[in-house]
Amino acid sequence: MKPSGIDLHHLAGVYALNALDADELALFEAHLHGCELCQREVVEFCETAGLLALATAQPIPQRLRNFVDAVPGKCGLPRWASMSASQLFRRVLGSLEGTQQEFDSVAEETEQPRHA
Amino acid sequence: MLKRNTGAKGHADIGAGALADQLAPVMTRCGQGDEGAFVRIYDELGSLVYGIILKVLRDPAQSEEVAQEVFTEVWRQAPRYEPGKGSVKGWIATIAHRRAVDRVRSEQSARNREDRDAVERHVDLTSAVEDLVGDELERQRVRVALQTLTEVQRKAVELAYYGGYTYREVAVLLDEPEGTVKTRIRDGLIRLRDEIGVSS
Ligand SMILES: [Zn+2]
Repeated sequence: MKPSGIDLHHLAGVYALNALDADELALFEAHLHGCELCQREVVEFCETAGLLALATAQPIPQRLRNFVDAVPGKCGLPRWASMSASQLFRRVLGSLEGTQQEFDSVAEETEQPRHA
Repeated sequence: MLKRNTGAKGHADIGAGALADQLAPVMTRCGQGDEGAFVRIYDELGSLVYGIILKVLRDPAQSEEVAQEVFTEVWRQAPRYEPGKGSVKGWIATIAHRRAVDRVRSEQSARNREDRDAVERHVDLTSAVEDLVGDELERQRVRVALQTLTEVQRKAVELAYYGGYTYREVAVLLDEPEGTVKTRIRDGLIRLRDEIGVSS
């Protein structure tokens, strides 16, 4: 018997609440990839979770606001405009893989003039 | 009142929220590097981001740090936002909550996660309401909707979401079987969705 195969369909709710342990998270994400029903449910439950978050809204501290104002400059996104297609592709790929270092190093590469 | 959706069918209204999402085009501009659009996003959702992080972490200084990570991630990930896959609010709330939960779990040893007081502490929503800019009406609707859940559903949802506990931890805290907790969270979310969806 493989009860987990059936159970996985019922994990969309706890997944949307980030309430899965690491082991089940990996299992469910693998399942989610190919299950449209769960994908739809996750979207819906994430919307609902977003409303739960809304109910706890708090004024932003000034220090945080100051930090956030500076985020675009720190991240340097506007530089994307001057990237070549292949640099852009690598950067997007880096972000998809969640490798921030790679992400940043590609961004830096575009800043430095290259000397062969 | 809407009929409760329990299966594969009856999900035709999924896109409704996303369609009405005025922030979706703003997010798209944000993804193209528009700093003004980014400011608009955090003007609209900053208090949500900070609020949910603070709710989970309970420590203002740590919450600010995590909120910084979230806004940085939002700016960087903005090009990946897909309007068809949910609202900007849902997307950003998910990022914020996940970051908060990651932080709280990484500091598990510092916090007593078996703390039974947690049950009482987190089942207290009404304290979060202050004079905030934004949609007070919507917040009110969520709080009312939460009250329509059964006691056990509400406790499970609140401990998982506001407490940042895994459903297995919730099961221990509530002294219930894991499968039961999983079902209660699921049923609770469906109930909330239907309740809140009614008037939107
Ligand atoms: Zn599934």
